[in-house]
Amino acid sequence: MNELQLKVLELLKEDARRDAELIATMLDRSIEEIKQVIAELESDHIIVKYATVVNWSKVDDEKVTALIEVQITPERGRGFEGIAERIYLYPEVKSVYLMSGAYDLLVEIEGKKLERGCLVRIE
Amino acid sequence: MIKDKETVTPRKEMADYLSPMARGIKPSGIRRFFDLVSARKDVITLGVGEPDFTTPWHVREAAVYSLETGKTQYTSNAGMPELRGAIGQYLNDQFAVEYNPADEILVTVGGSEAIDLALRALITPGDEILIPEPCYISYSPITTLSGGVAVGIETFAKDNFKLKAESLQAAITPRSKVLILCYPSNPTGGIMTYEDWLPIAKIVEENDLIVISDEIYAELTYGSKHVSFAAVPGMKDRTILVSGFSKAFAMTGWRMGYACGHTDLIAAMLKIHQYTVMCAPVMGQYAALEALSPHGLEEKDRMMESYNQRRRLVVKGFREIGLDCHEPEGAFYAFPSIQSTGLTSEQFAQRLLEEANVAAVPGGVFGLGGEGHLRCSYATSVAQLTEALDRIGNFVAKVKQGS
Repeated sequence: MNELQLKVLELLKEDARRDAELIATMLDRSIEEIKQVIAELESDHIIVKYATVVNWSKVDDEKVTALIEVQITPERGRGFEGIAERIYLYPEVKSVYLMSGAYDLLVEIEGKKLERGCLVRIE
Repeated sequence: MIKDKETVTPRKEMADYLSPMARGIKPSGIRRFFDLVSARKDVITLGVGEPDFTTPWHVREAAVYSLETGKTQYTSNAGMPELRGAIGQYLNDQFAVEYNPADEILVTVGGSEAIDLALRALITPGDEILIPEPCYISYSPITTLSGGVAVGIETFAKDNFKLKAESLQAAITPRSKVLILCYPSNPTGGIMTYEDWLPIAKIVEENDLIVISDEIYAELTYGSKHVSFAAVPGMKDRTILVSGFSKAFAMTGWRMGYACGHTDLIAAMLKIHQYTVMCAPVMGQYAALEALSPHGLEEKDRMMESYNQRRRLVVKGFREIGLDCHEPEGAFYAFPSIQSTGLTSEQFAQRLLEEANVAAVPGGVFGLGGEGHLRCSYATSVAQLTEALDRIGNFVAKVKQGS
């Protein structure tokens, strides 16, 4: 990764809607050059996609986010992965982190209100 | 005996008790303008000369830690020896100037205090102080308060607001004593290169002047590295170098600055500093020390790159709008000419605020040569800058159509 690519990534990370012309001005490069850098970053899947950061709490105040600590026994040959996969396939699960420390997985889930929140049953 | 709850009626108007010098100085033109701004909603302000970064966390944490560990006493009057050492090292690394931390470096309450101390230490009433303009607004009032006479020297957009030897020469009289330099320049963004300095140094030498070089924007140059006036051969002993942490390290509110110079000059400034503020605040000194660590210098470089990106955006924006804008090579201000609109800088700024909701400082407040320009700080977010340029573009088009 070269310095120009890094600078382009940083500018896009702050605001994905910045176009090649603006970035070219800010980095003192030609528009063509910036377009090519972006195209390469996209085709290399360094830029995976352009998403929107939504403040859902303003859209739906029923929504809650919960972090759940999970302790599991690693499976022979597959370690934590099999169980982690079973967990992250639930649509309510937003992310699963492998943790060091007192527990193994940190699961972030999103659901409606607390009483219905925990739809994921861990076996 | 004055009884309780009884007020004594002054014999004169209160203002009559003030010294003629205090009465004589005008309130800051920038502040006056921004009182108008605070009364409005949805204003984008390009007015304040302040970084839009918060001080990096590790620097703030160093100050917090100093409190936690009970570092709450006075420091040495000149500032903590470690900090003076770090400043000396930093100046040597960055600008190839050498100062002995023991007696040539003084830590002050912002660069502003250093300028005040320098002028008070140098001025005998009646001395003339040469000030290239447009410039930062405090030099002239502080000169007046110290009994000096401020002599403005106009600089011009056609010269990229560099100080020209002819202009300096023309302003010199037998009473000239001090030349105040501020490059990279607030408000113009102009810089001085080594070659630009040489003829100035010659005149300084020939006329036996002392120079106060305010280099607070030294780190903010784009393209060529800043050349300290103290680094010009023969000028170190004639120069009081003033700088600080506000701009490059995003530490305006900490009020941490310093002055470096000949030991006799620094000793005199130290006396005044002892009697007025004792020492710069200790927690700020710990923060400043951290700012000069390798980690702090990295953060500084990251911020500089970001200013440079925004500078390019703003200069291109003004040129597309049809306002002449010389390339600002330092600081974080663009200083476009608004003469093509036919308005004075005061009218332009006032109407821009009222009709387009963008605040910027009219160039006229910065003295000679400032009229006809607008100072726009680009130390604000890209989104705000883009929106501000749109608004200014529409406003200028409207003015030029004569409505």
